[in-house]
Amino acid sequence: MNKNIDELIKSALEEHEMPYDNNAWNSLNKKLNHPIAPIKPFKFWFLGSSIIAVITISSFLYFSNKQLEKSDKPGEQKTDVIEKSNSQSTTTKKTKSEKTKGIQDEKIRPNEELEAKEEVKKEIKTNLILPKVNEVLAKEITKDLKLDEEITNPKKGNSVITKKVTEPNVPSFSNKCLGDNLKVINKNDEGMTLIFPSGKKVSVAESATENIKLSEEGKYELLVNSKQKETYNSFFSVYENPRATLLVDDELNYETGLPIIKGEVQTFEESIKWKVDKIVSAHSSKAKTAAFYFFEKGQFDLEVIVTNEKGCSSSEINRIFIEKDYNLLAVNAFDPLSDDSRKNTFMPYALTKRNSAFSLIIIDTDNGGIIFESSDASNPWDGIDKRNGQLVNKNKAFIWKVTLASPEKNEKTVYKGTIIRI
Amino acid sequence: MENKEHLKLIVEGCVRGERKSQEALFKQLYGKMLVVCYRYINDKDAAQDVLQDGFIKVFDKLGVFDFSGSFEGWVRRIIVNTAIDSIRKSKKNPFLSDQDTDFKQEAVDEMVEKEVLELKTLKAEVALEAISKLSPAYRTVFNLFVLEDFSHREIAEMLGINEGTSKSNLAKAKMNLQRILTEKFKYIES
Repeated sequence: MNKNIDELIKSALEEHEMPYDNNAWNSLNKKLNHPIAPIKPFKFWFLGSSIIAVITISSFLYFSNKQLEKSDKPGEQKTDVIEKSNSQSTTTKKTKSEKTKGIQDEKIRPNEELEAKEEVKKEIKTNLILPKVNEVLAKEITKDLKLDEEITNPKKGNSVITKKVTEPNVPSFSNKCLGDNLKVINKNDEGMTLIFPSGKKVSVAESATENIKLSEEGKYELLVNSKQKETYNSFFSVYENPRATLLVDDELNYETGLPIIKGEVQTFEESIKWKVDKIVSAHSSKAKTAAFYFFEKGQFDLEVIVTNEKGCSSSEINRIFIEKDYNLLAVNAFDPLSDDSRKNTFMPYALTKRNSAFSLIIIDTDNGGIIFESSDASNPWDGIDKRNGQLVNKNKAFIWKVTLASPEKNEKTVYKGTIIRI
Repeated sequence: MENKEHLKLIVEGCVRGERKSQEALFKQLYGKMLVVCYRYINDKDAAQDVLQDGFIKVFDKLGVFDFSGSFEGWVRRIIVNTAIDSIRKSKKNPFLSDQDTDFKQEAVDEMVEKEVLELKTLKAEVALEAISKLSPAYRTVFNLFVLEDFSHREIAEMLGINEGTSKSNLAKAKMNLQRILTEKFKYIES
């Protein structure tokens, strides 16, 4: 079956790409570094000179005409006077004297008048041609200007073409959210008006840029104050931001042996993003609840950003104060002789809850010797120095050191502290 | 989605006038846009020039692009406008004739109606070569109507011709293409 010639060529070229020429960017870069003025200056020069020439010639003609008028009038009057002097002898004195003067002038420069008339004819001819040339020039320059300013506003993807180069540029905006700032760049020679849903109007002067706060929800119209019959406008909508309430734990939760603070956002929206500077999320941060590890003391802002289907977002922030660094929840004293099983051994509490491999050593501060080692949370230190099998002395401080095999992200590997037998 | 985000980053860089972003955008669209230029301008160097001028306009106007439509389509339109502008300006003496005569119907035409092209597919290079053999008037209307999907009314407005001329030029462009391709393949077969 034969393909239509259009389809044949269209399918051949639609996805076709030409290979990249390595020098292409360098050439463009050169042009970008040395931009050529969009309007050819010689045209302005030419136009300017032409205008000056026209004015000069016109002025010359005007004055020449005046002069001619002056020199012409006596001529006419001469005939008149002659005729009148022949036919009528009752002319007033004043007229007579003027006419006599005219005759005298005419008598003095008869050839000059003819020359002047010839010159006028020539000049009039030139004058008739020049405006046409200038009109063409002006047209050409206007065309260039307009083409350079040709607006290519993507209202409907590629389906719409700028109808005429003279059309005003109406910026089209995607939908916005309440409270957004709208930057309107008016490239037209006419002013623009942004009409709010309530009817409130904000003007953007020609060739000006305005930042306008979108304080109302609803449909906005951006209108070019064009004197042309057609209306040049664009519309966009402003949507309200989603509602969200953030609830955050008052204090750290150590249920898993880790320092966790949980947050919960109450919202109908599905798109949720949690943020805390440098703090690692313990659970999926896209859910309505999120948990974060706080290993160090300090002040942190827990932020949740909720986005609705229109793309509008709301943010809620809750400030969290962490009073002390996390140190595996280790106690600093124990009594091996106590009957209370919670107090008669030493093992950092977090290690009994965390499902994480570790190694614990107890060091004698006097000589740096290791008096106990364990990598099992169910094997705590019972106060016995492994070097001699005896209970360590009372009220003496020892150093404990825990090395985690697989710390959480952003968690340190080694924890240290002191422990005293009481 | 990620591509759009990536594109947005590049475009934002271009708006800030960053050369690296401009280079990335240029290289990304170069191959496709050069084909567009070459469809209108029957000379490789001139097509490259038009492409560069087009991209300068793209960089200049990027600030107004709001991502509501197809970015590639938007760039393509600027390139097409630049190409048409370049055809207009290429006249030796712009004062001698109306600026639009380039796009007006040509007097001499060889109509080939009966020969039917027996082809199912066509190589891009062959298609480009065939288009390049058309006169600017036919080539421009064919490109705008068939490959850019403009209507005759829109083409008429763009080129300053009437709709009838646009339709007629399109019909003749198609006939000439048919003839050019038929001749080409006859030659290859013999």
